[in-house]
Amino acid sequence: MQLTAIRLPSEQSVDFPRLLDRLNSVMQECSIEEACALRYWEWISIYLAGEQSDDMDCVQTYLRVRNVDILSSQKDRQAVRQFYKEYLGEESPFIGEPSVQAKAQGDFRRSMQNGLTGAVLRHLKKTADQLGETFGSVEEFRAHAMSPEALSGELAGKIMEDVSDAVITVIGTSDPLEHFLEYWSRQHVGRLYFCHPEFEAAEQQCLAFDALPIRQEEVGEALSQSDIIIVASGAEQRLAPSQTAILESIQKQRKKHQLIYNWGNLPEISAVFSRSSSIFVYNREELEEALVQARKKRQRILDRFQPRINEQVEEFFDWLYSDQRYRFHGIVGKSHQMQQVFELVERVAETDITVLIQGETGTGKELVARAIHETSQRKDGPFVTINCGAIPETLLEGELFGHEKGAFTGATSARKGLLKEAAGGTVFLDEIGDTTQMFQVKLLRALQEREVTPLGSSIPEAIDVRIIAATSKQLQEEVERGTFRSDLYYRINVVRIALPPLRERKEDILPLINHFLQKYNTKMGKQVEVISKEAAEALMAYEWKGNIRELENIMERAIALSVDHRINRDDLPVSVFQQTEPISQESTQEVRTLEEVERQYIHQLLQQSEGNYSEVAEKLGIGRTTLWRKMKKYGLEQEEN
Amino acid sequence: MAIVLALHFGSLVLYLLSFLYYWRFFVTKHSGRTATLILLAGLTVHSVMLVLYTAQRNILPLGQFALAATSFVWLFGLFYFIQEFLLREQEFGVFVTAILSIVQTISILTVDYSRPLADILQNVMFEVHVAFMLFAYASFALGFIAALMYVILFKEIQGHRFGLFYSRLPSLEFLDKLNLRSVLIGLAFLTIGIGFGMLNAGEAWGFFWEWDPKLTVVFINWVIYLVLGISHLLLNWRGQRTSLLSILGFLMVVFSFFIVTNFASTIHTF
Repeated sequence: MQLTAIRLPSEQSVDFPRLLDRLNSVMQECSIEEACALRYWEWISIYLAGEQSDDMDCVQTYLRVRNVDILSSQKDRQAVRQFYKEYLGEESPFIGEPSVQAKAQGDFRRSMQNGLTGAVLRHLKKTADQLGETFGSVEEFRAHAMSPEALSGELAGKIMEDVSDAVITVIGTSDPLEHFLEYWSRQHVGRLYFCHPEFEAAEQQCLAFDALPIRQEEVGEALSQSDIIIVASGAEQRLAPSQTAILESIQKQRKKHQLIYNWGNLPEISAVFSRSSSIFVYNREELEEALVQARKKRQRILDRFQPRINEQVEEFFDWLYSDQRYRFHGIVGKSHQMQQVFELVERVAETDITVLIQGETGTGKELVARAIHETSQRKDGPFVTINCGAIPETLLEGELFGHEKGAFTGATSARKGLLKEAAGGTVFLDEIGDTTQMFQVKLLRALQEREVTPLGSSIPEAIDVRIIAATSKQLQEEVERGTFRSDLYYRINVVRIALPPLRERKEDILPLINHFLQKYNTKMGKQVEVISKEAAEALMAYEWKGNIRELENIMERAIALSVDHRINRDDLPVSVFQQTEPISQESTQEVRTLEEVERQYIHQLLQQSEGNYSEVAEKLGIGRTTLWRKMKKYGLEQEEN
Repeated sequence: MAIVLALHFGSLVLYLLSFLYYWRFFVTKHSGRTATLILLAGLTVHSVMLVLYTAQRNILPLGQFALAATSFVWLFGLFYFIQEFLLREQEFGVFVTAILSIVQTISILTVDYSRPLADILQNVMFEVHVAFMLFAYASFALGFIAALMYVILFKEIQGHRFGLFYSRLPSLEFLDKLNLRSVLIGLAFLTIGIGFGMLNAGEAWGFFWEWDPKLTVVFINWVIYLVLGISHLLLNWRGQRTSLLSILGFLMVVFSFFIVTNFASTIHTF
């Protein structure tokens, strides 16, 4: 896995959605697996993750051809370090301010919503968030004002006790005018005046910032009332002599403290307000010097955190090079289908929404349900599983909704019911498609009203559980056939997580084999470390009707039977080989070389997928570059193009 | 008396320790809570000491310079503590605790618990007089600290140097208000205190006023604070000028309370 960070000039961020679209096409073109874009201070950074390093060169060429300047490009550790630094705003003047991180999170979310990100970048973001928590708790980061507007606020705070009834006048025409207006409108000051040479322009700005526009001729008057005067850049407009006179007269009577923040270096201001005991005048150079000092101080604090960042970078690479990255709460999944499932799980876990998990037997529905529970707020509550298909209806009802003593024959004592007992936790209803209509009505009522009425009782009781339902049936069809109630179907089908069968994600087989090798080695105290090539190939080609559960059983058996430290063909059950079907039915008669078979198979898949290389590569369980090499070898690429 | 001395000494140790912690807080912004708790512990030990003394001798601990000084320490510490509790501002605790420690040390070095009380001082009027004066001095001390901070911060802000004081101290306006409030309260107590003193003098000496060194200094002192109060109330003076007056006034207090009392010959016992 290669990581690359590319910095582009900030013009690229003007149309952010379009940039994300373009990123998407770059990914297609260069077979990049994951990407995200962060808008940042004076540039925009894109982060790419792909299998091969030549893919990254492809991106650079792609950008150069389209005349996009590349400011800088970093690889691997440098790229990850850059991500952390930008995510935390380290190189911006606003480092440590929560807003920087919020902005980065927003941009990342957009990349995620556009489907650009995957497990690697998501993990990168997660670790950056953790770093951010460490940083955010350091008050010293926010101890120094980093921007002109924050400095004006800091100075005001050092002079006045509170600014809630202060009068502020901002004059000027250009940057950082809006920052000043925005900053001071957020402070909820008494009054905020804004003066611009063109009154209409002032009115426009004032609408956005809840300020009062004033005309040129009223400036003197406004300034005389102001506690804080902020002169932004571009205030080269001269004050009329009469206004200067007004200022002079006020200056003499003024008893209250006054702050004059002469960022724009308006000459009359500094001339009139000489240093008196209650007026503090600051000119541009002094303010810039203060900002430089503040930045130095912050840098010193930041230097203390460098080791922590480096440590995090190393931790990230440890994670990247282990199979940890294909794991999610005990679920192993390298395929992009499974990665999407993981992403969905993380997103649904945030809320209490009902989830329907659909997947063939043995695809790990319960594991996914458990993962949702463990990722959610309810993780400290109980997780209760009930297999609806395995219990007779009446018992199931008593089990779920509870019953009173003597509600039916054999009910010798009252029972609370699982929905009630699992308060604060999650109830997982497996095989919901196997329930009767009667039960479905009651379940719907419980979900709808969030209360249950125990059998034999008439008093409904409130429940506080999250419901996750699962089925191996195609519920939509069941609804059409009338065996499953449509109202319940729509109630539980709010979010559906479809688990793909193992045969549709062959690239997960090897990671799963490794996972089970580890698991059963520990369990049985064995040291089977490898699987022979033939055995692995046989497993890759197998149909896996029983999905992962079947794979697990076969692996358990194979490890148990294995005599040396590897799994051989003989350790696998015969059925694995019998079921393996010929690759192409038409050509069973003639004997062909392996290469011929390969060529034809690739050709066939390419035609089926209409040239989607990623899809073909995934189906074949090989990398895209390998696929590309093979296509070249068999001369398939001309045909495709 | 041994217990009283031990407690006297114990409170000094706690004040010194709280000074160290307030110092640490001022520089690093850490362990501010610990500093406050230690100060509170010091005040508690000090209170027990004062109560024990009063119980044993059946007179308030005001009868000699060292005891009046320790009462001043207690009052000043209490004022500061109330201020910190109400205004949540503990940046200048370091200066307050420094003064507490110094004055308490002087008090321990000069105290003589067994010395009998002069006859003329054995009446309630005298105790009221001293109590009011100490109350006023503690108030002026708080005002002095605020004024001193004001002047330092003012110099930093106006000189465009953003140093340690700039990053630690509260706003100028806050310091200004604290100074004014403390001085005005102190002025009221000082006026009443002097009034009681004159009544006392009338009984003990037969005359109300005498241009004795001590009394003269106290008079000048009163005039300074009066000028400050009037200029603020009538002319709305504040900020720099008020702060300088407050600093001057308190320096006079120190002069009259420590120097004149101990080194000049005066008819006023202390």
